[in-house]
Amino acid sequence: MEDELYKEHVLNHYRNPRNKYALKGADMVGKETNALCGDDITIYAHVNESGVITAMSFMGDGCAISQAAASIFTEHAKGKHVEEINRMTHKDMEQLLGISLSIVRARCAVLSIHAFQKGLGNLISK
Amino acid sequence: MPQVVIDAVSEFYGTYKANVHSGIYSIGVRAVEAYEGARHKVAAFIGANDNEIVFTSGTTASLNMTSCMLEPRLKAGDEIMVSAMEHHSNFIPWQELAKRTNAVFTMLPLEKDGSLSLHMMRAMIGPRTKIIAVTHISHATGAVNDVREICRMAHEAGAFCVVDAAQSAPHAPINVREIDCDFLAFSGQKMLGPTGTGVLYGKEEHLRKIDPVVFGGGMIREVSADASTWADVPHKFEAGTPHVAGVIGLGAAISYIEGIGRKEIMAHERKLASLTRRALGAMPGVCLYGPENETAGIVSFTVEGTHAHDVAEILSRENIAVRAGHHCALPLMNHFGIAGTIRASFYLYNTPQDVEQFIQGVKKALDFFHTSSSQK
Repeated sequence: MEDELYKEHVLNHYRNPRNKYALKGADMVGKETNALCGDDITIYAHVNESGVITAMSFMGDGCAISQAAASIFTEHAKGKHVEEINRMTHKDMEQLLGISLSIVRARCAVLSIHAFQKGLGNLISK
Repeated sequence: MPQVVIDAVSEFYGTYKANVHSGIYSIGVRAVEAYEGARHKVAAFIGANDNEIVFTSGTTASLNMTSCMLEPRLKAGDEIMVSAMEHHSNFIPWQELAKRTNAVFTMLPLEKDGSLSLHMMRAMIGPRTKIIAVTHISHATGAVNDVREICRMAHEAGAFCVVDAAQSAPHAPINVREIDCDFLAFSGQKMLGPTGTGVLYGKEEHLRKIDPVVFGGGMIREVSADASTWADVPHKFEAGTPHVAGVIGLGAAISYIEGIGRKEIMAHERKLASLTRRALGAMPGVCLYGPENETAGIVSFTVEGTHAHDVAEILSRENIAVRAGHHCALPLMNHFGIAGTIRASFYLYNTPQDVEQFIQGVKKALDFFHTSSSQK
């Protein structure tokens, strides 16, 4: 029987993360850490003139949930407008992961959204 | 939590809920008797006098308060020393105090196994050292510090010694006269008592001289437009309505612990911890932290290639509650070069069957993540 939290899909992204590298010449970089777990995620992205994310990658360390979420997040964000990604919540993340998260583990999953939002803040204030 | 503790709290709320030190009505008097009765129990529990016991909301509040109480004793260039194994609550208040007073904040390095080097400490203490704050037993590794010797060294240098006993008070016999510490702090919630209760012990000679840092009702002698004067110790340090119900519950918890005996509790926990360490030590991919000759019932470890929280998640499904992460001791985690550990912390209610179940749980976690990784 498949595990409710660590679904194959999630474990697959954890063990074989997609887009896990530092994107060269990224337009935006944002790093966020989870003080509770010590997890960290850095999101890199290329954003074109119309605000569309043309490439996204991540680097980081942490639990299966935070790392799988980051991997899935980078796949999801590519080709979407920054505003759409900026509006994402933990509910959207649950949907992407296909699992429901406790209030404690939700913090792991949203780490990449927060890292992205930080990076976007830096990009806008440039 | 023992039923006697719940009953004591519930009896207070159900039959004589009143504030202390304000009413002369009968339930108010009963509340004072119970509250001060708990103070007496706490004092006897650590070998102190009743007026050396200040009730707070927990160890964190006790240590923050102590750091503020000692502030007038510091001047720029003085030194505050803490160890690298401290919980953040015995680290940050001192770091902040150093910032406010321009004192020097020194962190004592640890041995490779996470134990404190008294030898190095001796070499580092100097004439400017004014405060040494150290934990009695590390909550993260179970390492036991010779606080008696540390206090002796502190006093030789003319420094105050503050002991964090949050981990030791529930598990080990404590006598503040033997330790000869100037201040000692612990929490009720870690010793079968209610949350939101804590104790600050201070030597009477210090408490008499030191000014309070929290002001309000219950702590005054006289108040006028010109100035105010303070009540006697310990009441001058207990402004506002205390957690009366919690303190009464803490008193009941202490009676419960005394009924079993801390020596017996400690021996029981040591047995369980050593069983656990032996079993974990034989598992490939498991790394144990902390000094090997443990005397406290704590086992801290990591599992290769698997985050502490993922191991804790699998254990939680077996109804096993462990703390996983940095344990609010980031300097210690940095010392070990890790993000966090999984910690099994035993108490009087644990059994060898629990250890067996725990080991099976860790095996499951190992299998789970190992099997998943081999499916690459």
